[in-house]
Amino acid sequence: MVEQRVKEIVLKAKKSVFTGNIGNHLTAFKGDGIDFAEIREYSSGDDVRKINWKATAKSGSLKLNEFNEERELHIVVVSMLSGGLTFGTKRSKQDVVAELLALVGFSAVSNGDRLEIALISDKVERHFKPTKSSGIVEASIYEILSSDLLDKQADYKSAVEFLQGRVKRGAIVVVIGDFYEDLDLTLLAKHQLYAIRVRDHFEENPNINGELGLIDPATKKGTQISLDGSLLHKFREELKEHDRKIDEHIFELGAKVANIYTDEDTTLRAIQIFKS
Amino acid sequence: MANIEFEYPLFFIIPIIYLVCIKFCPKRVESIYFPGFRFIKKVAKRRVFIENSIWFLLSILIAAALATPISKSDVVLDEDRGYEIAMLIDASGSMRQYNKFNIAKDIVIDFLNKRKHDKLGLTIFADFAYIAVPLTYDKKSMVRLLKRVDVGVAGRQKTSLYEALFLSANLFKESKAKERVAILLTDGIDNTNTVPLKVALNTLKKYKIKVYTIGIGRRGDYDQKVLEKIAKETNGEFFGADSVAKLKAIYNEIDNLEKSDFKAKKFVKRHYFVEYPLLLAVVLLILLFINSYIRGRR
Repeated sequence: MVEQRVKEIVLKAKKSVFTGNIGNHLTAFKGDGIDFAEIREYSSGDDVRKINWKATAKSGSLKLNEFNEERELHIVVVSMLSGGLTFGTKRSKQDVVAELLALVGFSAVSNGDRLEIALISDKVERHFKPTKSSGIVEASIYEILSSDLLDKQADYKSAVEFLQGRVKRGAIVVVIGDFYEDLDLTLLAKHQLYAIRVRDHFEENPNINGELGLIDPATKKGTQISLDGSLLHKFREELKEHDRKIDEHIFELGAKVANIYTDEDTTLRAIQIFKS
Repeated sequence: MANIEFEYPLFFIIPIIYLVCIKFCPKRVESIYFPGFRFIKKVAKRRVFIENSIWFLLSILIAAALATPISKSDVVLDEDRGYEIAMLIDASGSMRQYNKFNIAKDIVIDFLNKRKHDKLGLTIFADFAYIAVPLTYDKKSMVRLLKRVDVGVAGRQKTSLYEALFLSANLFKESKAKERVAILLTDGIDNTNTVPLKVALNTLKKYKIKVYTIGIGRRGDYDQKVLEKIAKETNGEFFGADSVAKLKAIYNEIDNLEKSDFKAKKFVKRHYFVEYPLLLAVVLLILLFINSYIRGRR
């Protein structure tokens, strides 16, 4: 069952990546390099050495040369595993995470970048050392899909600590998770950071009424709550506020945060996220 | 307000069972894994607490209603048929001799407790007379009061015997009882002259009060003739007591002479308060329903 699904995901991702549809887009990460990409407006914090004086003189405002990322990038995919990932109405968030990991992984490998994968819950579940071969992608997808995530909590702090000192400055770090926990990714700011929030519409916007037992997938502890409109409204507000805080935090680090929902086409969403 | 007690306090086990049940046999409802658990719990915390408290309160109220709160008033008899007895006790200085007063008090209390179904009054006299307790069924407070009375509460020099008789007779002004009795306990002679004997006697006769007179101490301490006269004119009886045993015997005799023969006519005034906790419970239930209805619509 799991093997089947792993194969499907791998094939789909490979197809998208190797037919060239998205392969280049996904790793069109911008950064230091010699591969000139474009001229753009200077914004504070940019390296002054990259200012394009000719363009600046012509336009009257500061312009900057932008280069595509140096080849042979170091791409680190961190997949935060928690019980919440088992949730999903159309399909599980677990499945989306696996697909996303496959896409990023294969596109990195196809570009000849070094790929590192870490599966982390409250401890490091699995760590694949940097490599250029695609074997670890399959292995990690299998790991994600086959492991029982219930009773697991995503501890972003331990993830940050794990990457700290292990990954050199300037790597591309993609954190995939559902971001329900409070987190502080400040230490990852030296990398090019992408935070991808995988969610299901129903969990953000549950429209159920009545007496219901709710169980926390992260701890397996439950309680009975009679749900109704006003309570759910408050819940939505609370969750929105939580998400907004995390968005703000990640923006402040100069990183990018994006949502992928279970009912969306993962490939398309991935292109949108990494291309823009 | 009389003391409220519960007829079936065992019902108060209900809230305890309720608590135990909540802990150990929770409702079976469908459960789902919900990733946003932390947030929904935080949001619902206060409300869940309030709702649980209300349910618990409801169980208490229902238990309280089932336990039947009740206030029992004293035994009330058919007043037309019961006895009404006024006790007159000499508290003059001489009663202190040989501990007479305390012995008399104990015997009177004993007597009081025997007359379960009668209305009793208490008059104390010495320099002056006063009504310590008007006619009442409330024996408890009467005993309590009697225990506190001591020689000297009404002065200790003189003995206003007739005044006491007169005052006690007036106790029966409103009386409807058929049998009216006064028991006079003294060890002296009236020497205040505040009320003439004749007036006192007339009042006693007017209200048809039978007076038992008891003289205690040696003959000569008290005026036997006067006491006999009072007893005779009111169809009562005179007793002389020169020992504790005798005094006891006298009171027993009076008790036997004036035996009330009806015990069936006994009422306990009960007032039930069942409706209050029930009403409160119903109001709370309605509020809960309205609350869930409104919230459900939003």
